[in-house]
Amino acid sequence: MGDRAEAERAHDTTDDVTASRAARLTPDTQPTVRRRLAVGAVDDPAEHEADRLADAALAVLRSTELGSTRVRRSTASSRSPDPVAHRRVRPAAPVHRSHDPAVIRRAYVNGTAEKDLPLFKLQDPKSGDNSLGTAAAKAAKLGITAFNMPHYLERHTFGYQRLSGKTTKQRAGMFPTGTSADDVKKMLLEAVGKLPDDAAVGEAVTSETVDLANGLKVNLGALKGGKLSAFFPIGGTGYHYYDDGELNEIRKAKNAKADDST
Amino acid sequence: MTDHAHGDTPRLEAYFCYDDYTDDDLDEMPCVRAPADGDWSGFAEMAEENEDDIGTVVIRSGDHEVRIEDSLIATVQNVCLSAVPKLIGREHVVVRLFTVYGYVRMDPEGSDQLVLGDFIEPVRLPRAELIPALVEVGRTYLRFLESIRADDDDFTITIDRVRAQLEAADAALAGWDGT
Repeated sequence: MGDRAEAERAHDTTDDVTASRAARLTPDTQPTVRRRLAVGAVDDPAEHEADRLADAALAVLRSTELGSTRVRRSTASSRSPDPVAHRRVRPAAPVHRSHDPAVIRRAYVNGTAEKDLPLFKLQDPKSGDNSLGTAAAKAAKLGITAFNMPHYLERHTFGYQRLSGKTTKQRAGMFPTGTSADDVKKMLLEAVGKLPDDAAVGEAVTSETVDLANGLKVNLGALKGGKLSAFFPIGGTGYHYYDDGELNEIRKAKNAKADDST
Repeated sequence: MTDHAHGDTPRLEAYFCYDDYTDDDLDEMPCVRAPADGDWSGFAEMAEENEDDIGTVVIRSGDHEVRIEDSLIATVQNVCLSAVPKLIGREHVVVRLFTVYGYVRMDPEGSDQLVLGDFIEPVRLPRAELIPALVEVGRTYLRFLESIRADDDDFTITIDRVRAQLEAADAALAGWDGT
């Protein structure tokens, strides 16, 4: 598709968005409209390879206890911005991190989310749950009224991601590959326990950084009262950061899949 | 580094836009600009899908633009309102982003304010226009909260805080000579 056609398509899409809203809603489209990316051939070998890897990844997700196998990518060069090259260097298995939306979506729907449902419901530090340990008392002392485990898992944990516009728009710090929901819970409780006694959770927009014993640095934040809206890694061993480039790769792969199926 | 050109540069404008996740479309993710006429009726549905009010504070002056993408709950309180007394007092202001790791920094430089940070290209903006414009963004966001979030218990504290911060910012502006 030529540049002019691309530009017109982007423009048309913008108009569609505007038309679909009340006329008074003005999309701030100048910097935020993202052009639809070019679609590869239907028989692109890379797509077939991606499908095979996706199936392999799902088999692993179904049969392997997350957390027992950790894959660490240690060099920047292994994070190729080219999705095809990325697939070629990806190990055959296990794969818990992927740009392939099919892997992300199926991991959420069929993978660990159901098994870990009780952990998704971990939201009330005053629930009397003995597994919270001393963190419950610390949470009470600091005014933390709620956790937000669904968000910590769906936004920041490979294998639990929910594929949505929101998920793939916002940049995000990701816990290391292989982190399980139970791992997230343990890290959360450790982090809460290490919050400074004068952390003003509930009194203002709060953001604190804590060093964990496993070498990760994490941020904890409260936006509205005492609900701990944010808990995500910002550095340390195995930490990964989804930047705009990677998010674009996910959207590109999703668009290619959608177009292939039509 | 870009410099604000004094003299014939168009006036600075600042506003926020609000992320629309309602159609779950991965290809189009519009950020909808706050309405100039104060009619927020089209935002209720978007707000249901955007519980942390993720959006962008946009500051434009001439060809220069600053975009702060984060929770508006945090950006409005920390950048647009509670920072104002410090900005007027010519203090350096450093604000931590909320949903990602990063910072916004604002330093006074003569009649300009240098704005820079993670994901933000450094730009110098006229203090006399920037600071009142930030407060207006805060005022607009309070109207949004009062229109859309007033019945949401999760936002009760936020609305009270934003209202108090706006009053403090207005008081600081009232005694400022614009330098």
